[in-house]
Amino acid sequence: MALQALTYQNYTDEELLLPISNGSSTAFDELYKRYGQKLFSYFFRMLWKNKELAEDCTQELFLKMIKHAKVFQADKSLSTWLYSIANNMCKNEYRKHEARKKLQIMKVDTSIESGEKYIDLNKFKIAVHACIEELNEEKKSLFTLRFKEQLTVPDIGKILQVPEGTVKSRLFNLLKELKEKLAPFQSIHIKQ
Amino acid sequence: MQPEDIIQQKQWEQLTAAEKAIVLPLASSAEEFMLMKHILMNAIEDETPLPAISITVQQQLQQAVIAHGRRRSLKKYYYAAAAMLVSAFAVWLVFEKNSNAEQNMITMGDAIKLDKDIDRYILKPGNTTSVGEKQEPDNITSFKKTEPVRKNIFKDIVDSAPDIAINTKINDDENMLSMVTEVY
Repeated sequence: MALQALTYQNYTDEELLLPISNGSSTAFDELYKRYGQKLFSYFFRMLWKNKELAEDCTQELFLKMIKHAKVFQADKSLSTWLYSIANNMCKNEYRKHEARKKLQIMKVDTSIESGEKYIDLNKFKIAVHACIEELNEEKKSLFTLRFKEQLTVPDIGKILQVPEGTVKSRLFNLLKELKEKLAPFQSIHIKQ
Repeated sequence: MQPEDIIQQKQWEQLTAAEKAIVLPLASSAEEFMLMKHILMNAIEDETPLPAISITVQQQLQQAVIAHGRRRSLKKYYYAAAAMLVSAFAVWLVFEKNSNAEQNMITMGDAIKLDKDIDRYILKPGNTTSVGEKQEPDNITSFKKTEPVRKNIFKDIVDSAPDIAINTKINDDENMLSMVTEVY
């Protein structure tokens, strides 16, 4: 069993799918080690920091992977496939919780006292995260995939099923929106 | 290189002319550049530390993987059993069809012999002579339909023309005999 675990460490993500679909829990453990916490973190960030919901979604995602392992095309990347499923699941959750989301829109506190030259870093951080939480599902997903999951523009294009140019353009607009919302902090020195 | 990468990795003073051109739409001055830098630095960090996923999730998924593997291996046996049943049924059908065809067959060679003896059984109109006596036919105009003499007729045929390929088993089967009403 230990020897088998060592063997699976050398398998690529895609190579692990076949033994998993044949019932190998050792192969599954290896894949889960690589993606379990990562995907959970993605769901946690996207789904309002709800731990139980994030765990449910992670479990459901892996169950879908196990069930549909046979239809996965070997020339594709497993990572983008998993994130693609995760992105779609988040979209469904946002649709279900549309009413709740509207109630929870936070007003971004960017008020600064006149003449203030310095600002506490914590206040700035809170303002930044509030702006990100306010983003709609599409923008939040883009932000999370690019800056939290550290995925490349081509990978994000495959996950969101849009051309790379569209990803770049959306990213630019997103950063511009954040800059405009946080413009009051522009001429202020941020105290670390 | 993407503008956000340049902003994260470099200071305003370090930018080349080409890099400044890339970041220009987002940061046209040192102040704007600094603001974008702070935004990205703080946005990347999580506000609160991320929790670890519960161990029960992994355990439940392990069980699901094992169960899935078991279901898959059983499926193969079901398909094999179904294929065997279908094949066995097909073989039985073919065998049954061939067996029935043999029972009803009368060979060409024996038909000639039948013709030679058939005149014994031709009845003249109005002739009440029982079938079985040899008659000299004048014309064959029509056949008088008579009730066949059961068993005896076939016994004569079988006795007189043993080579005729009529299945003697019919003789033994009373149900089959009762179905025969005429001899040609």
